Amino acid sequence: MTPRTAAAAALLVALLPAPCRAAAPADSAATRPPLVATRALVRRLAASGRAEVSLTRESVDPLSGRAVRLRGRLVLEPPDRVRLDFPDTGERVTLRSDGGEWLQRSLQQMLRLDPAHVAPALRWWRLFLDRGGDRFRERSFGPKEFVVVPRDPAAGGDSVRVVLGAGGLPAQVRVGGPGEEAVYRLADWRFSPARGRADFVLEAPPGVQVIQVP
Amino acid sequence: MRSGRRAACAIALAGAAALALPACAPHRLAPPALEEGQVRARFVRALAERAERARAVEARVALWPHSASRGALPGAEAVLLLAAPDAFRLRVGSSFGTALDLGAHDDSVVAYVPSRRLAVRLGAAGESLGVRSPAAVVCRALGATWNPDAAAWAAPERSDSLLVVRWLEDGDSLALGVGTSGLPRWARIARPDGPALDVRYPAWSWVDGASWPTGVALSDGGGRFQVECRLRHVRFAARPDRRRLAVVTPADAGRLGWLGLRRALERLEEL
Repeated sequence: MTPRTAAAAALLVALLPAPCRAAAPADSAATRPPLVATRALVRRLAASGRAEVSLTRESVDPLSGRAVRLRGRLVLEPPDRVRLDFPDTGERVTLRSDGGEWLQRSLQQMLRLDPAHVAPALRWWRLFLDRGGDRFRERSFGPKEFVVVPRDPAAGGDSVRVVLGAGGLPAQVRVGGPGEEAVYRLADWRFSPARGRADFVLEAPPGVQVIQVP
Repeated sequence: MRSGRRAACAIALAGAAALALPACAPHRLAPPALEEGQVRARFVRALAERAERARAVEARVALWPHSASRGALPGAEAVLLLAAPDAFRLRVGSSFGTALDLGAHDDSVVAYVPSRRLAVRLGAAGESLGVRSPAAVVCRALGATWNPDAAAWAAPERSDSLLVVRWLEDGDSLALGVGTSGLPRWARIARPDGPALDVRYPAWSWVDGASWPTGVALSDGGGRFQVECRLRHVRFAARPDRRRLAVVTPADAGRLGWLGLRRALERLEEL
């Protein structure tokens, strides 16, 4: 692969939605207690199999200084399935251990992602899918607010701030650094039986070009 | 050979059409070829309109890169600020944030990759990139503000329906294909023993009283790499906002040289 090709692909893959961008250490056996920040969510997910929540992403456009709000839906199924839908833009993302898809209607393209592309983002999403205590540590700022950071110092200084709402479920997740901060507001958690992998695999609509990310 | 086949096809099609169409159909006569002076006059007038507006442009851009060896690459969306003649900012991102923030003024370039907190500052970017005043080249390419000198218009060539003018600037050789409308269809800039840039303008739109290129395709001289750009929501302002043109990099961002940034981006795939 040419440097230019690799650079173009890497830039886009780095944008895969993750609570934050730093690499996390590899998975390990769950020996530490679960994080308080995600304990209720993980417990209910384990009992039901699937969680859906309405999501609003709030950020400030760095060029215009205007507030940007994007409404969507997040679906989680343990152990490794994440799906994000943004009806306003037609954008959809699915992440699984075996890869994923990123549909971008405005560009009329769907990116196919292999496990290596998905892994950094998925490791962070697993914060909400399993116990997480072995890979993350948390600091509490009161009973309902936590900052979660990777245990591995080599993973960098990025962190996720989680604010809990009703039932101890995450109501707000704040990510990103100065100038790139985004707040995900989560409302109306619903739990149901898992639908399985097929619900986390996107098919390209007619007229959309499928591109395998190099 | 290819043009010969094309001509043969055209002749065959024309013959078939002549047989199929009823003789009573209204006759359509091809418009007379424009005089070179008329094309030049239209070009000069349209260029003046674009040059005035190119001083402060904001647009949303869809980018589709294509590699000759790998085919279509992932596309991206961006916001473009243009401040001709010598400054621009391009912020490439998605709903999930900024992938690359790139700003340039004259010969200096600043690039910032927020996801990796990596920044590049090049004071003499032209040397690294092999392009004299890269910001000015981008402004001219995206605003189609190529301005051949008077000597270039003295003996233009004809290529199909286009007038082709050629001229030299500071050792660079430039060529421009102008349609009968006076709008550029393509441009080429090349340095002796250096890289070349080919620009095509497949789409123009009427924006705020001027024709503006809303389809631009950039490629290297060898055709190995191409980026097709489609501009929408093009807006002009009276003057550029210099603060918005500046790419701000956090104090704790890692600093890299140009080669370092390229190596870092290549390594991202392994993470």
